[in-house]
Amino acid sequence: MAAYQGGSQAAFEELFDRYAGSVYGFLVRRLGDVALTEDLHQEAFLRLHRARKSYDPSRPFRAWLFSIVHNLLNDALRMRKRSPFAERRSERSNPSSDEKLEQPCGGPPEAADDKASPERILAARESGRALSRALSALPADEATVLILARFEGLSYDDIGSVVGRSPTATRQLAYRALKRVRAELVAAGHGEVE
Amino acid sequence: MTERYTCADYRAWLVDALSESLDDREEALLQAHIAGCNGCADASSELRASWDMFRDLPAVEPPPRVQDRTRSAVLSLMAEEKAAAGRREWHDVGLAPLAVLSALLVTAATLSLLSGLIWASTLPQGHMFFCAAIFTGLLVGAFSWIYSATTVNGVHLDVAARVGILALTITVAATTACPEFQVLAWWDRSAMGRFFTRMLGVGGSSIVFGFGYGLFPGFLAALFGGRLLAERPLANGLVAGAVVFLLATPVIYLQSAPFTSGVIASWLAGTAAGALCGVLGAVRVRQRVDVASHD
Repeated sequence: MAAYQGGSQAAFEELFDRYAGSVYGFLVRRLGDVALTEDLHQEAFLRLHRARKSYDPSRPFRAWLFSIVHNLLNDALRMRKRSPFAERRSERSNPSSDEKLEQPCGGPPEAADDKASPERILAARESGRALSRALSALPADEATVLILARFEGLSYDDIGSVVGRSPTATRQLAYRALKRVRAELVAAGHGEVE
Repeated sequence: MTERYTCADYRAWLVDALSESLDDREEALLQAHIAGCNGCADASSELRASWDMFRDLPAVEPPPRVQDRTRSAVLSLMAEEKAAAGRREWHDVGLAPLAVLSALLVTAATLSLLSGLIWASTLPQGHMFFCAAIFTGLLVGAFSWIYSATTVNGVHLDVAARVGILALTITVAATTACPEFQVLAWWDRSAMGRFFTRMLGVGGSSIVFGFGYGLFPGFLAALFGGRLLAERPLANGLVAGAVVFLLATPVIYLQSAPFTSGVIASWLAGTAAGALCGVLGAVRVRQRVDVASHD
């Protein structure tokens, strides 16, 4: 990061290779909207670049990075909420909700397991969709906490610094999020874990 | 040992246990508690089931075109910054001597102008306006050079200073256009000025005039500061407004010379308030424009 702060292009490339997937994964899981995710992915790294000199090396880099992404996401959602046409546009750019939700949580690719039966593939895809729906239905901070803990492996202390909550409050958010996801899945008939 | 903790504490630990971030002692305490508490045992299996549901989902990777687009955007920005830094270095070499030269010229122009005012110059009024215009131009030049060496929130103040020139141009144009040398005197004689003087007194009338005097350039500075508003609109807009105010201050002082200090102070206060309101209005306009363009 120090080299990147000093303007090294190679350092940026290395950092980008390391975190581009994490940022994309977080955004797509959090938003469930591929088109908006693609826009925000670029904006996230531009913001990171502009803010690079304010990075405090004593702070974990991932927590700092996701703070930027989290703020960007909140700005974008606020902007979308303010705009009376945004919802309609978003619907137009995402023709069906199944199509929209299938990709984000990444239902297993069809060719991922040659030995998998069509029934198993179908069941796994259904389960992926249900999870995406459950994540989308969570309150904003709960979804952020759960995604950062489950997929990005951040500690609750670090996640707390991202969402601006105490570590205890962050754990409570994670607890509630997991309970809600479970309830949602059970209600959707996906309660049994294979 | 376990009596110190409540079920609420253990349930917070359940969340840590999922990500395997408990130490051995905490893990042992938790397992011992779960073995004797049905509520926490149920919560544990429920959370575990929910957590494990996500396990088999594959990682989400950005499509290559998205990666390429993002990477290129940042690399282009880096290249632009590098080029700008090169230009800035070049520019900075000549900055100090030019600033000194500008300051010397401003001092000479000020002295000549003041000598004309103090010793009742026989120059016709047209020449006085000409002198005032030269003085303001040089002053703006000096300010611009000084500001161009100053950065606030990553923005060089010369951007704001250039917009400030507009404020001074307006002043000089107004001075030239009206029959009186002092704009404030012209205001006091106008119908509006008389009205406000009657309503608010001389000080109040000066505040109103100053407010209008600062409002317009403040609004323009914040609105057209362009990149000033990119990241921190309010902070950068206020910087633009402050620069406009600073640039306008000497002109205000010069034009208020025959007035009492109270009137001059009122005008200055009004100008500061006007610039602030202009900036806030421009920031609001920009935000609305941004929202509309995002649609």
